[in-house]
Amino acid sequence: MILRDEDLQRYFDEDLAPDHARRTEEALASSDEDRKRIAALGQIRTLLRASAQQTAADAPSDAMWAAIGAELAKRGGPGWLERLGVRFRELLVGPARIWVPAAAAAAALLLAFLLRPEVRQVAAHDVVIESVETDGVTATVFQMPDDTGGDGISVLWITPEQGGEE
Amino acid sequence: MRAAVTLAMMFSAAAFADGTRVHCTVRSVHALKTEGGIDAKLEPLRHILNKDPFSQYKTFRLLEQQERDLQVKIAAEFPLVNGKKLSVTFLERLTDDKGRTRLRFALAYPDLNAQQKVGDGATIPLVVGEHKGGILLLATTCKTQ
Repeated sequence: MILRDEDLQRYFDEDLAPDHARRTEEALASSDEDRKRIAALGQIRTLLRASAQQTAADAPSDAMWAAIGAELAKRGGPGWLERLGVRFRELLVGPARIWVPAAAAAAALLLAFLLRPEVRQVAAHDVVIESVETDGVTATVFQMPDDTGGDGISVLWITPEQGGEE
Repeated sequence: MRAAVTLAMMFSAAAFADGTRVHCTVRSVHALKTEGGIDAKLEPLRHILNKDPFSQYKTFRLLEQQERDLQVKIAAEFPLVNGKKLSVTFLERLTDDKGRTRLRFALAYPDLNAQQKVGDGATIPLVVGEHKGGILLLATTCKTQ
């Protein structure tokens, strides 16, 4: 009988209930194939442990970190020029999250301005008088054509009722 | 600080796009019936000066030119060469039924109040009476910024 992968893995991890573990052990005893599989799991675990130990050995030791800290302390803090450089880089690179939306908003406003309906207009010279109120003067309205195709230009001409301007 | 600058830029751009400001030029023009031609500085007004009722005048001289930025609904006073004042108020910017930008202005001169609707950049001609042997024409030209 070939054991299920899950049962085999849980047996290997010693995660089965005692009764289930005993039955699995009996199955293993009668199956060369399952014994090979359990042996393979053991080899994988060994390799992983060896790799983890090697990684830990390669990491800087406490002594190295201590030496780095001592060197930094001996050099003192960063100079004003270095701090200025860092601030400048932060200004250019760091706030991209601010400048990018701001630039997008400005572009949207510019686009809205360029695409506004008024761009279609062609005539600009026309003048229409909507209302006139006078007190003691006479107002005359002259109409002249608008060469640009508008509705015409209204000229308002006032004349004092008594005497003239000088 | 950066947020304030960004907001200021956005509000400025919005005002720009909304057309809540106009730049106005008030020209005081002396028109005479004697031969003399049109002052070169009055070239922007030629389309007005060479037609009736001004065609009877042969000389047009620029006496004074004043420029001002106007905020919507805030009157601006322009002192004139005849000692009087012209008040110009930018009332609103609108779009007519043909999709064209139109600007509405209120003009006030002694004994006169008028309201005009004009094209963006159009010149409002106002003759305010006789002046030194001719007439005094006030030409108000406003354009959204």
